[in-house]
Amino acid sequence: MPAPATSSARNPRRILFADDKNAQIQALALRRHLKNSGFETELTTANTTQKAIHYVQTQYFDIIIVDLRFDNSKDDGNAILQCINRRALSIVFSGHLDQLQEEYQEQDWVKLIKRTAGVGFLAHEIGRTWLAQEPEGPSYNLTTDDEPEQDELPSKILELEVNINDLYKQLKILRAENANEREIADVEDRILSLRNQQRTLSSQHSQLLLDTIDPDDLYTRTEELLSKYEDPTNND
Amino acid sequence: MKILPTTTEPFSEVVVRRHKPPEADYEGAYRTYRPCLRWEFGFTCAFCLLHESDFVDFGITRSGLFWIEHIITQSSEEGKPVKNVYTNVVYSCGWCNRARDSYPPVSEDGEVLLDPTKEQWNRLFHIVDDEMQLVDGNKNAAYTYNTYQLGDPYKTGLRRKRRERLEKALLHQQVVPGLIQRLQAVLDTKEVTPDDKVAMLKQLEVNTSILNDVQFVFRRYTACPQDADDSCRCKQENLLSLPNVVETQLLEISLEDVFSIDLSCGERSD
Repeated sequence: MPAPATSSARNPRRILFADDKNAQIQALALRRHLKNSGFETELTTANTTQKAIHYVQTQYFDIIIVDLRFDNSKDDGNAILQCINRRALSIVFSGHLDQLQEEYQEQDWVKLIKRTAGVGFLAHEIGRTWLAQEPEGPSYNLTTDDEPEQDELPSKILELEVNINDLYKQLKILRAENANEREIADVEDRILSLRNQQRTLSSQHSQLLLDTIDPDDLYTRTEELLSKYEDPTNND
Repeated sequence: MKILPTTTEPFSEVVVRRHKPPEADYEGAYRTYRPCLRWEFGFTCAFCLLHESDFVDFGITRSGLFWIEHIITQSSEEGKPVKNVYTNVVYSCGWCNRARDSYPPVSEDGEVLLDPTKEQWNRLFHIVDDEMQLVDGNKNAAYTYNTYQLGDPYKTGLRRKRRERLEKALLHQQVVPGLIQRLQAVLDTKEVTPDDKVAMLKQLEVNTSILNDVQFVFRRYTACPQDADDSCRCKQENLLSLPNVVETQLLEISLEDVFSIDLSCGERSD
């Protein structure tokens, strides 16, 4: 039994892009799309099956994207998939989904996407997958003109939580009613956006003065000032 | 107010299962055990012992940072029949859960993945310089340690952050209210030079900001998070309590000193 692959911090998320055709360019485009959606990612590309299998065996990835017709050989993508075997969510690019759907319909770690779908669609699907798994949320810095005062932050964070909960309820109803995809996607986008804001505010508040000030310095400075005016004989 | 200890030490007893939710066998039914599991394990990862609040400021709900971990993996053949069995699931942080992936309960070499409801964690692991380490050469403990990556530097970092913050907050709680009162007394009763007055007002501001942070830190590291579930599938209110192994480590904080201080000193800059 090999040692478990090392799991890196969740942010940035790690993606392996295994494709022999313009893997680098596609990966860069994918990273840009995901960044725009608020997800920081670290992309590794593999343009041969050997490289892909080596990466899968030695590194941790959140998502592995595999072109099934790798190296112009029908079975090579499958070899990578067999090696992945649930180690990460896998997205398979293929031009022939019908043949694959039966084989992978029970496999919740494999997601099939049409080869012609494009990187934008792929990024959208990844974003939605992370949302469906209740991820910790996108983490890009949201800049606003009216940043709240430090003291207001916790209440703002909680306020956002309430709004997010409401949206989740709305989403549940829409899904139960089989609403159209567009309506559902709108609500999901709003949830992602609010989670961004919440995460950003939360990290701002995490930078406490308490973290940066040395207690001894603070006490010494204050005592020095007080000593000028307080009666040293008064112990009260 | 009860807050977490500066470091949660590996439990000196096994986590005793008090909850017995009625079993359901539909797909994904184990997810309904989450409120039971949160209380059962004290909002704490059963493996690395990091608390929900080590990961997020206010409430874990829907953050995806904590998961339900199957001792016998649900993807394995032997795991399918026990997928929704309560005793097969524990509460785990996302890092431990993802690190384990689908590693089996028994490795090919016969090493067994340990169950915190059956093993006394402090006999196997201890915390040294904020890092969880193996106590000795127990091979099952080593397999568990490696599989869940209990020594992951990220987890060590979160443990350190809580310890440093709480140590500072506890110190400030003792000292800062007194300093604020004395500064206020001097400013109210003594003839202070203009330069010293500016310096004192600045110190007053810094000290009161620190006290605000102390309040924030104590609220953040409360043992029961703000979004703690107020019901579970067992439907017994007395079960909505922390397990003994967590309860005995908590710190009781008196907030009287911290919260009785008037924090509106910013208005004094006349």
